[in-house]
Amino acid sequence: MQFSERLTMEIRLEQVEPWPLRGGCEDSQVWRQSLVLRSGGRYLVKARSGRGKTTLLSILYGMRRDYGGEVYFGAADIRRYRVKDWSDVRQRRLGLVFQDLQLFDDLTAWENVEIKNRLTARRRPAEIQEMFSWLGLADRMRQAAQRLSVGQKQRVALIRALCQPFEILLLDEPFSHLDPENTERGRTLIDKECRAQGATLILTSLDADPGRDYDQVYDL
Amino acid sequence: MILARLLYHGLGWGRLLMAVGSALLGWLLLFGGLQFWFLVDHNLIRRGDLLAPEFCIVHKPVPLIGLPGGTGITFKEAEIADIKNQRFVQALAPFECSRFQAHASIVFRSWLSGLETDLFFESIPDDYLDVDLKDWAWTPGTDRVPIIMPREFLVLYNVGFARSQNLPQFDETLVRQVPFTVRLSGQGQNREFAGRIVGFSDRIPSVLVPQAFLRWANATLGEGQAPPSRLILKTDRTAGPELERFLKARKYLYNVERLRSSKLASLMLLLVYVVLGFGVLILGLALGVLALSFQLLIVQNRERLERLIRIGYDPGRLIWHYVPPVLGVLVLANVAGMAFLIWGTGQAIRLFSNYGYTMEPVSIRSCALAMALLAVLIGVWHSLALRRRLLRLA
Repeated sequence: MQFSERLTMEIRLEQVEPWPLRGGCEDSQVWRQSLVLRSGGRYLVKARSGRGKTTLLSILYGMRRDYGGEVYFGAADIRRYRVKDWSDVRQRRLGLVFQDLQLFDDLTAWENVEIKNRLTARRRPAEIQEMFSWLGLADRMRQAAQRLSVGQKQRVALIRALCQPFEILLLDEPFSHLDPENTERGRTLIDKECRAQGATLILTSLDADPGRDYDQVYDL
Repeated sequence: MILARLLYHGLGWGRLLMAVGSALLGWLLLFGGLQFWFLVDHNLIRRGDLLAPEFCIVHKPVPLIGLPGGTGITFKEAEIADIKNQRFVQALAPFECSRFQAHASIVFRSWLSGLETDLFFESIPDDYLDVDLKDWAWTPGTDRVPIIMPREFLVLYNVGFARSQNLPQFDETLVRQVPFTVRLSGQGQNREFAGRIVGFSDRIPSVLVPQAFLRWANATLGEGQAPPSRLILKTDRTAGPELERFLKARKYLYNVERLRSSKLASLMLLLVYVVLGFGVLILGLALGVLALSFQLLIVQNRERLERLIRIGYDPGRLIWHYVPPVLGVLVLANVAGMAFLIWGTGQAIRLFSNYGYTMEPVSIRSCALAMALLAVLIGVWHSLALRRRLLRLA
């Protein structure tokens, strides 16, 4: 499947319903609804545990196909994407910070970022170093990922996600283990990148986080 | 480097080295055997020394009191069909026999006395002959008839008869030039022909005339066709032992001497087959272990691979990190194989020459080509298998 450059990555969900949640989605503002997330918008999806926040992002990231209804990126039904299309999308158009972070435990923090950047050739080493410093990880770069705290891992995963061009950035509870200061620094970094690339931001959270201007907040 | 660390995490080096070692061993056995086969084929089979199709002449034992006309020793249709149906019999022809009186006489110009003798003729189809067939043709109306004699017959005459009787000795070229008269009689008719010996056969112990001539003479002067009492068989080059068993079971007689070389031939072939068989077996097992090593690696690193695919690595491209080592092994196998073939061919030729066989060297080109082809096949097969596994993770 070919992607025309800078096709607007508007996301459209038509009556999407994950099979495991079938029948339990009556009051959702996302499941079994028709909604459009416009290109460059900022969206918050909040819900308590078990309502399918991670499921939603997994569907959007092509990791789950056990759902009814359709999801469109622009005009393309993402069910039609083949393996190679997904690799392409994940390298150039769609970023994700996984809730379980998906770091390689036996690699260092730096190598975890490097392995992504090598694929995309997006950042110079100095830029990566700068992000590490900004998020307070300058002295942790050479440490094996398995010896980092969850909060530190979250920040490494965020840096890795920013080592690629994207039109959509998906963040799955990215600040759940961060103190207010690092949360703030993370937000700043994300906002800057999204603005620079005109990217859509979709963030999930347990509670509506205050103080931020989202275009729309959905109760899942 | 980072990627290689992830992709080859937990690789069993010992197992892999053993698999590579055995694959090399199997590879060398297989292609060594193949090259040996080419060598034997080129030098012995094509040249006809050892493994050429065997001709075997079969007849029945004469009973204690033979009946006139030899009905006891002729082959019946069913018996001929039985022999023909044996797996190792490629073709078969009966000896046709003259059914008339024949008399040959030579008159020497410088001697008063001549030589004369009563004769009989037989004939077999031309393709069973081991003689140059240049002057062999006979067409009705021609009064010259070509004759083939057994070489042993001339030898016997020269070294035995001629010396004991104080008669002149002849070499083959001379005998070919001696004109003699062949007088045939039967059914109240007489015919005279100018006979000429056109060749000497090692294979056929009989006085032969062209089949067309014999059939014409039998029809004109004789009592028609009689059932054959001798058969000539063209058999597989390796049929020796099996043929011998069969003939013994039927209580037929045959010329044993000729079967001996085919025993050697089948032994040689057996050796080649054993080597080839072991080569295939070892190579197959080793390739299996090698393939399993990689599959195991993928299973062990399943989570890492899935993770790489999730952060955007294309599984179709990840396989290229697994393919080069296998290609390396294949290239190594080809280079080692080629060196082994060159060295081994020389050794084999030296070995044969110790036993008195001169072997021409055979180019390793066919073998090298087969090697390269197999390497490509294995490479492609391996890549496709890995690709299928990796795509399943996506």
